Amino acid sequence: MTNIKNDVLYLKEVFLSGYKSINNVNIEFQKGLNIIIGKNAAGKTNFLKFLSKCLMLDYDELNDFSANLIFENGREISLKASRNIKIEDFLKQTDFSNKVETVLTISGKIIKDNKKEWTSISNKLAENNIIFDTTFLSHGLPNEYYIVDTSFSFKIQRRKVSSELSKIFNDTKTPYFVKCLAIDLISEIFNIETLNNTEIKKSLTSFFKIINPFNEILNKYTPIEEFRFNENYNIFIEEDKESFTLNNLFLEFKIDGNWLPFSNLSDGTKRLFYIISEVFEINEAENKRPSSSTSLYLGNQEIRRIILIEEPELGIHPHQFQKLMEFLKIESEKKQIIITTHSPQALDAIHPDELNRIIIAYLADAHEGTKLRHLNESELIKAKEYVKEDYLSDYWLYSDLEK
Amino acid sequence: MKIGLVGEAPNDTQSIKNLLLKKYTDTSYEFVFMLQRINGSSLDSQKTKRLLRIEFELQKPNIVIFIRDLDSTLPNKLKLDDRKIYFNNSNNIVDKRGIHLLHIYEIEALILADIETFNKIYKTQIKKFEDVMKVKEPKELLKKASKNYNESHNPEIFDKLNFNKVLECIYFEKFIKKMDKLF
Repeated sequence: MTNIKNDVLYLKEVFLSGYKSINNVNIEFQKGLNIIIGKNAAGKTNFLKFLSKCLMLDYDELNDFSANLIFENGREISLKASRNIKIEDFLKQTDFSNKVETVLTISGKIIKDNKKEWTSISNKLAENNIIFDTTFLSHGLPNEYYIVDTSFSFKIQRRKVSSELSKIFNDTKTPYFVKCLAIDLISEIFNIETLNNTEIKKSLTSFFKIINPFNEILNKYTPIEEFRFNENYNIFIEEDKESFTLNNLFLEFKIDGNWLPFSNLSDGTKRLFYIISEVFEINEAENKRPSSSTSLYLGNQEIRRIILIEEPELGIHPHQFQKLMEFLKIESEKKQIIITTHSPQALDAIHPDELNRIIIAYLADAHEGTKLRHLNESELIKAKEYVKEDYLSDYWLYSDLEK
Repeated sequence: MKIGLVGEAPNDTQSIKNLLLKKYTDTSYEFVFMLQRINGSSLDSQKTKRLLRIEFELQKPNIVIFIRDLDSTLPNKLKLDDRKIYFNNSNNIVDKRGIHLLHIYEIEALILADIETFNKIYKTQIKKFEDVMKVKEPKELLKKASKNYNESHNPEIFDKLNFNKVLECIYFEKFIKKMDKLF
């Protein structure tokens, strides 16, 4: 596997404590692909959820916790966060967002607030060019999957973003793909000079072409032959010609020669589309992209993506899953991807020289909770022997990788 | 002394381990599973043989117990020959350190050897057998006697069996004698 360049930012190590079964967990990650395996109830999901909250600087639901995320991009960057509000203080106020203590350290030097004012951690990260975006794909599909599963309608006023669009941008649960589509749509529509049907349609036709590069990927890695925007949308222009409403915008998918709405796809195909559309990025994308670390929209090339995926194999045929792992492996050359899995097939995507990409999650005991570790020396030797004879997955399936 | 166990199913190897631990209590005996998740149908495959060699080379057991059911009562030359071939092939893989534990008819015969323990657990009244090796399909017999029983309970049952009573089963007694000679 070709590694992403050394100077590219990646999550190198984490210390996490204080969320469900996660207490004093410390683990190192590699650039690119990382695979977490572990039995049911080992705490893999808890770990991934906790990690995603910390990466997204979303501390709202956390208390009595501490986190230290260590990144590397030629410099060692440490982002510490903690909050410990006592019961008596909970009764005094309702908003504790400012009670999270955060410390950003770069190459051993603590980054202080600007001289005149308190500086948010997002600003400190932005000022120091620490720009990343985190995508977390949990089980299933997004509850609100606008444009993909639910037709989308919104109003556009000149230079103003409507509430419907604002919801897409501001809701942290909006899928990355949908958010990017909304950005591309706005960028296209705001260029319209005269608001009339012809101009708007022309602009939309241009926007619709944005998804074309996805077709090659979907065709290669899923049963979807191609997808497109449904053309039965409606445009309503206000009398003052200053605003218009676009109704019924949604995608349709071609399977076995038939165009279908997302709701008619099989569960496995839906999940495949969800994963691939969240991970894949058009390299040449000219429009801005979101960065969860800085809350800014920046150029595609400036943002390092960290993608967390929970059990990508769920509902997916083994042949299709093999292709999906191939896709994730290729994409991990440009992004850091951390997955949890119960699928032995996932391990076969790992080269024998890259066994440090495997992480084992296990429950130490009720008090200590979840622990994560890499393969020890004897396990590494055995894993290599298994690969020599057959598959790495055999080691997991038939031997004592997880005792 | 490291003792490797290769069985037809994880429950079988765990059951035999639980039973042997009653006799070989000294901490110098270490029982290790080799290919714990293999099932009966894949025991003869080339892949299993290759993986067994890896386990043998890396775990370095002093002896390896190959546990199999005959799936028949005696005499059944065809089946016996078949199991002999399996054992000889497997024994070659582990540099002739193998020892064969062949259940007649199947592993549940050992439960019949100490039927009092089973009767006590499941509140059944199965009578003592003169020769458990003559009982056809002992597992089915136990299932018919108690609806609560199934083979997944075997490791716990074997943990409660009286070792000396199980020795009344001739094939098991012979196996233990053979094993003791190796120590």
